[in-house]
Amino acid sequence: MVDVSVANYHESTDPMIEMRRVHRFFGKTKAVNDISFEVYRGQVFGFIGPNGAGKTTSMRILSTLELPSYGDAIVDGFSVINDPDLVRRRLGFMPDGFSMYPNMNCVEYLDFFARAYGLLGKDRMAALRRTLSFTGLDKIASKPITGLSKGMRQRLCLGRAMIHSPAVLILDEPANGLDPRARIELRQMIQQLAVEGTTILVSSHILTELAEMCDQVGIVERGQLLATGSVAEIQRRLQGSTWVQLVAIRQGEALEAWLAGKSNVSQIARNENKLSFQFDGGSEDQAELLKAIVNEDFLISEFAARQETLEDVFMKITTGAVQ
Amino acid sequence: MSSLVHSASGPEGQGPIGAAPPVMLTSDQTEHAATIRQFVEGDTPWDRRLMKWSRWVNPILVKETRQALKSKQFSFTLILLTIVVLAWSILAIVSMIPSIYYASNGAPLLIGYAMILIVPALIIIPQASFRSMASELEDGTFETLSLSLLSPRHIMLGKLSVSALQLMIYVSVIAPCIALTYLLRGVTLDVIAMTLLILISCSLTLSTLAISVASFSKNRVQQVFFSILLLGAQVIASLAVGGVLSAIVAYGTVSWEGWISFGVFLLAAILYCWLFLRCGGCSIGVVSENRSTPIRVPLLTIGLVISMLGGLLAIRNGDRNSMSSMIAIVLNLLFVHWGVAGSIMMGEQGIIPARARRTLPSSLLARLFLTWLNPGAGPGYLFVLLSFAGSAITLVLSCQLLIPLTNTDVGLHTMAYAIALAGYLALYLGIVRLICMAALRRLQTGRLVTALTICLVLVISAVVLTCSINLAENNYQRLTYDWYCFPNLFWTLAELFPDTISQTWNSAEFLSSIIALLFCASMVAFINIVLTAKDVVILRIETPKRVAMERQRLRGIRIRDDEELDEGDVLK
Repeated sequence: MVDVSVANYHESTDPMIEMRRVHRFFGKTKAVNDISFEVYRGQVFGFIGPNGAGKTTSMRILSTLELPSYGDAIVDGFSVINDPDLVRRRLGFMPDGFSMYPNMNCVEYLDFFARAYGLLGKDRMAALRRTLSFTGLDKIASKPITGLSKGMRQRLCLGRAMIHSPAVLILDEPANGLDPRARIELRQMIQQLAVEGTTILVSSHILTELAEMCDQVGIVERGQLLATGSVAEIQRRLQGSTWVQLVAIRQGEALEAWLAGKSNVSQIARNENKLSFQFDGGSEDQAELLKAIVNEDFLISEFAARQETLEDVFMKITTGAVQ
Repeated sequence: MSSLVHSASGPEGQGPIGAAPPVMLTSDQTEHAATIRQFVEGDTPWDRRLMKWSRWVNPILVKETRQALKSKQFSFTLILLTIVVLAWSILAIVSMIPSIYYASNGAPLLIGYAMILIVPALIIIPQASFRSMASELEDGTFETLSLSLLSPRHIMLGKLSVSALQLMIYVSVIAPCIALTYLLRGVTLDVIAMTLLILISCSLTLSTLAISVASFSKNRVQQVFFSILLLGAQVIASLAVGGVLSAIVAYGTVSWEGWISFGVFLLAAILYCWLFLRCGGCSIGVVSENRSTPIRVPLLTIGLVISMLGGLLAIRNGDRNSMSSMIAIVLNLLFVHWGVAGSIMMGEQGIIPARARRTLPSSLLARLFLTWLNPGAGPGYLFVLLSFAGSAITLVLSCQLLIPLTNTDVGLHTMAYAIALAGYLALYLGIVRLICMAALRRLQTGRLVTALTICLVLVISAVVLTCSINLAENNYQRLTYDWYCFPNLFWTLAELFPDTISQTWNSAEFLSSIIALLFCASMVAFINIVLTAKDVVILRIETPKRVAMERQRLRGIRIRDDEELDEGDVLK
C-alpha cells in the first residue's frame, strides 16, 4: 500500500506554481520572454494579456506540453523539464481549444480519464459522481458529447481537468464563448475549487470576471510580464492616486479654485457643480479633504472615490503592441 | 451550486495526489448517483464481473471498444465480412455439389476464407490503428491524454490491444466456416493453425508498424505520406501472405521446417514490433527523457539474434563454400541493420538532458565501458561499431571453430569481408557524424531523418563518382575495379563476396583499395573517438531528494522517517 501522507509534505508555505525566468522562443519570436511569478496554495492567479501575449505558451509550459527555451517552471516543487511525469500527477489542464472523442457520452468520457489517471473501483465512482455533480453534468451524463452545447463542453472539459482532484488547475480561457449564466456558474466553480485548496491559474479576456475571482493577476504583453500582484497592489504601484467625484450644491467654480490650491489634487474637471479630480492619497487623506471642504462651508451632496478597475490598470499598462 | 454533503476518500494506490476536494452530492441527485453507480458497476452480474475485470485492462482498450461498438465503420465491416463469408460458403458448396459428398474439398474453401480474412486483417485493421493514433495527434486529444498517467507505452499497447480485439472478433466470425473446411476433408489441423497464425501475426505486426509510424507523423502532410507508405506495405504484405497461404493450403501439410521458418519469422516480427513500439513511444514521450538508450536495447538484441540464427543456419549447412556465403549474407544483414540504425543515430544531439544525466553511470570504469549506451551521436557511433564488430567476430569465429574453414581461402575471405563491412560502417557513419556536427548544429527537428538522408546521399555519390571516373578511364567501354573504387561499397563488397570472389582478390589494385579503405576508416574512427571523449567526462547528477522520495513512494516503497527532507531539499 502506498503511503499517501508523504505526498503532502511539501510545505504549504512554498509556492505551488513557480515560473523561474522562463523564456520560450519560436524562431525569432519571443513568445515568452523572461517571465517569473509565484502562486501559492489555494490562490487564483489571473493571467491577462492581449492575443499573442504569451499566455497560452506560458500555460502550456506549466502543463509540461512545451519545454522552455531557457528557465524552468516548478509545480509543487517538481520541475516541468526534469520531472514532467510528477508534475502531471498534480495538474489539471483545460486548454483553450479542445476536441472530444466521437461516439462517447459524458460519463464514458470522464470514466476514461478517471481510468487514465489510475482511479479504480470506488475511487473512480466517487470521482465520477463528484465531477458530474460539481460541473452540473449529472443530468446529461448519458448524452453524446457531439450533441453538447459549447457551455456544456466547457463544463465537461473542466470536469476532465479536475477528475483526479489535482492540486493545481490551469485553465486557458475557460469562459470563452459562454453565455452570462454559464460564466457566472463557471466563476463560482473556480472560486469553490480555490476554497477547497486547489491552486488555479486562469487566463481570460473578460477582465471584470478575473478581477472578481483572482487573488493575484499577472499582466503580460509581448511575452513579458509587465505587472503582477493583486489589482489593488498593481494600482498602488502604478499610481497611488484615486479619482474622486464630487457634487456641490452651489459654488462649483469657487470649489474648483479652492481645490486647485491643494497639492495632492490634480487634473480637475468641472461640469457646472459636478467636479472630478485625481487625488493623491489614501482613504484617511480623502476623509481629511472632505472635512476641509465642509469646514470651508461648501455644501456637498456627493463625494465618491473611485478605485481604478482592472480594465483601467490593463489599459494603462499595456500598449496594444503585438509581435 | 451544489452543496457539500460528505467527503471523498483519497485516491487509491498509484492514483493522483494533491488537494482532494470533498464529494459534492445533494439529496436530489440520488437518482443520478444511481445511474453513475450503474454505469461504473454494471447492470447484470456479468456486467458487474466485466466491469470489475476492466479495472486491470488498459483504459485505451476500454475507451476504444466503447467507441468501436457505437461506430458505423466497425459495424459495417463486421456485417460485410459476415455477408461475404456466407456468400462464399454458399457459392463454393453449391459449385462443389455433388463431389462434396465424397471428394476432399476443404482446401479451396479454406483458401477463399483466408483471402477474405486478409482484407480486414491486413488492410482494414492496420489502417484503423494508423487513423486512431494519427487522429489523436491531429485533433489535439493526444495532449490531454499525455497529461494523464498513461505512459506512451501504455497508449501504444492500448491501441495495439484494440487491433488484437478487432482481429479476434473477425476471426471468431470466420471460425465456424474454417471448422467446416476441416469437416470437408483435404485440410489438416496444422494447416488451419498455420494459416491463422500467419494471418494473426502479420496483422499485429502491420498494426504495430501503423501505430509507430502514426506516432511520427506530427502534421497532415506527414500523415498522408506515411499513410501512403503504409498502404503500399499492406498491399505488398497482403499479396505475399496470400501467396504463402495458398501454397501452404495447396501443399496440404506443414513440415517441421515450415514450423521453424514460421518461428524465425515470428521471432523477427516480435523483435521488430518491440523496436517499433519503443521508437513510437520515444517519439511521443517526454522530450527531456533519455529516449535513445531504450531504443538501443532492442537494436542490440536484434543484432545478436540475427548473428545467432545466421550462425546456426550456416553451421547446419555442411558444405563449406555455401557456409561461407551464408555467413557473408548474415554479415550483410547485420551491416544493413547497423548501417540504417547507425546513420539515424548520427543525427542525435550530443546534449544529455539533466533528467537523463541522473541515470548515467557514476563510476569512471562504468562510464568508460557503458558510455556507448548513452544518448548522442558520439556514443551511438561507438555503440554501432562495437555491436557490429562483436556480432561479426562471434559469428565468424564460432563458425570457424565449429567447422574449420582455413583449409581453403574461404575462411580468410569471410574474415576480410567482415573487416571490410566494419570499415565501411566506420567510414560512412563517421563522416555523417562529422557533417552533422558541423552543419546541423542549430537544427532542432528532423535531425534523424536528415542524418539518414546524408548517409544515403554519401553512399550514392560514392557509387556514381567512382563508376564515372572508372568509365572515363576506360574510354566509356567497361568497368574495371581499381584501388580508388574503395568508396563504392557495393562494388568492393561484390568483388570481395566469398562465393563469387574474382581474380581481383590477389591483384595489387584490390589489396591497395582494401588498405585505403581501412586507412580512411581508421582515421575517421580515430577523429570520432577523440570527439566522443567529452561524452565520457559528463558526470551523473544526483536526483533531488524530494524527487527520489516521490518516485519511491510511487513505487510503493515506504519511506523511513529518517529519510525525510531537509530544509532546502525541495528542489536542488
